[in-house]
Amino acid sequence: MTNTEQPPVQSSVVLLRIRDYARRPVAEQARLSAQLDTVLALLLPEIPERSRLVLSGNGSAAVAVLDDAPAALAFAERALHAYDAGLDLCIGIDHGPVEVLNSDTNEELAGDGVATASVLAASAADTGLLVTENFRTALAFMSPGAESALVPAVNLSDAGLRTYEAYTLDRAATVRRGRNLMLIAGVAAGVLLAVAMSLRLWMPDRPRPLAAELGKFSTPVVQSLTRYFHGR
Amino acid sequence: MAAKLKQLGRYRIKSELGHGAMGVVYKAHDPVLDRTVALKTIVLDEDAQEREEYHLRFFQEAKAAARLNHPALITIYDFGEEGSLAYMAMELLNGIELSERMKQGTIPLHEAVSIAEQVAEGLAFAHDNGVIHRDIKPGNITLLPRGRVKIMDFGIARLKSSELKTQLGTRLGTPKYMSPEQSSGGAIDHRTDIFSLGIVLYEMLTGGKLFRGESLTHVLHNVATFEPPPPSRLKPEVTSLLDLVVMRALAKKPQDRYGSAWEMVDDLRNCLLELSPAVLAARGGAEATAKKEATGEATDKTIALKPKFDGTVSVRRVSTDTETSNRMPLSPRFDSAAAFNRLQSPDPRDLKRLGRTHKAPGLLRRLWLDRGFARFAFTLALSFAVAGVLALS
Repeated sequence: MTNTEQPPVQSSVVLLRIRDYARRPVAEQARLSAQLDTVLALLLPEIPERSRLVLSGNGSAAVAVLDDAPAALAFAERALHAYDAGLDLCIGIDHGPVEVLNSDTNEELAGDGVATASVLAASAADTGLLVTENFRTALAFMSPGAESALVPAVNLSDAGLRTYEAYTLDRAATVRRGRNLMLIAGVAAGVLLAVAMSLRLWMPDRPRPLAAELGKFSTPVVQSLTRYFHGR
Repeated sequence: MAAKLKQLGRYRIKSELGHGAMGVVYKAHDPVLDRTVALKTIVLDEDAQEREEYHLRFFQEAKAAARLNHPALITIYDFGEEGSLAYMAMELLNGIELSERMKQGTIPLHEAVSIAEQVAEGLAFAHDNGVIHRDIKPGNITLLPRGRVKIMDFGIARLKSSELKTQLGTRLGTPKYMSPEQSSGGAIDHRTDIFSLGIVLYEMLTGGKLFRGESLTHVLHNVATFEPPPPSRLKPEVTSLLDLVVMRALAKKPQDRYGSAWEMVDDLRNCLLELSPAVLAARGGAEATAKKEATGEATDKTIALKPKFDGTVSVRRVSTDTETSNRMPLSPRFDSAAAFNRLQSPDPRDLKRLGRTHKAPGLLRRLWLDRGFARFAFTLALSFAVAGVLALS
């Protein structure tokens, strides 16, 4: 018997799945499971206790992070580093509805957030980490700009014809975005200033509503510069 | 009819022992070899076609079982046919069925693993000889004195190489102990026995029924879809290695299970070693040391993330092989009580905050919180202002 007591809430679900777990010998499964527990023990303190639920499955674990998408992404990013310790993880993240289920034997977290994260983790063999559009939007809302590190990776469709636009993490994309924005701002500033200078040079009879106002504040140095500039 | 039977072939019937998968089992005496045997019979149907089928299946069972000679498998002495009855003489066992033993109370961990290990070894031997049991359940496992075990009733055993096909629409086996592929009528191989043994082991460890249901359909649905929690969740004394063995045997997809029963035997022997008193005594200290080492190793080696993404967007179907679930149990190893309580009894404001879906941030929010965008906007605004002053003064 399972029952729910509260309506679903939105949560960022980070699902970590050990790659090819089911096909490994049991002794290795035991070692990898222990390693996954170690990774969780190392990384979980970074998320406040009242904001995270830790779930476990066969060869997988998940952390549901409440109301903190940036912390979920940071957690996933650090968990990927476990690759260097011999633990090859596939990680899927979704921001979706979840609810607590109490059954006779278990306390469970269920919902589309868990299911979608699970699908993405199972499909993240190439990139290591896949996140959904929903998560990207939640991240953008909570930490505008951080979503630029998530770049389109793959469009998935499942047997039920449901499609997932999945993104992966690319920290260089944030640097590229910053550089592009500054480039655009620089070019725009240059164009604006060039237009203004052109007006000053080629349209001496243009309306100058600010001239009188600015004249009050001009110092002799500015006046001489202005005269020099206008060739007078 | 059974009570009236006095003689069958050369065997003298002494009493009725019970009912097998397809017939009555008697205790009988073999006057030629002067030994007591169990005599399993099957009534051959009046209908010629049915009779033919029963006949074939019975002799197939007898031949299959007679080929096997292993301490964990029941020994078949003889088989034959008389009138409307086919019979099979086999070793008479002096023990109790595992199902009875399970009703008497919880089976100690070490004993449960030992039983499973012997059954797995018997199955491995049968599989090596081309025989799949197809009906492994507590009722078909007999516990003998001194901890020995025998697998009984190859009543529906099938020779892997046999040309005899199972009748269409006939689902042989016991629903609660069937593998998903067997319950759905799909193609089966030796891994179906591994799944059934996994159920038996799970039930021995936890003391409860794994796949329950109010109807046959419900049971079969549960067999196909229900993901059981690891036994340790119900019995904390179950070791994590044993958890893994059970969960591997119970994988829904045959390819995710043990490839051979011998592999399961090896793992169960490791579990037995792990459960030996000396190891159990030493485990406390060793576990703490191992945890420290593992933590240290992970800390030292988590250095840099290796980029694996080449930047191209592909279109893919989610593999049908993908095992996904829309629910997961809370991990017993990590404390989630604070967040769990927050979800179970949130204050209204918190609930409202947690329940809202997010939209893309607006311009003001982005200006306020996105430093890159704010720099961009500031540069634009500043240059616009300077240009305006230059142009209009």
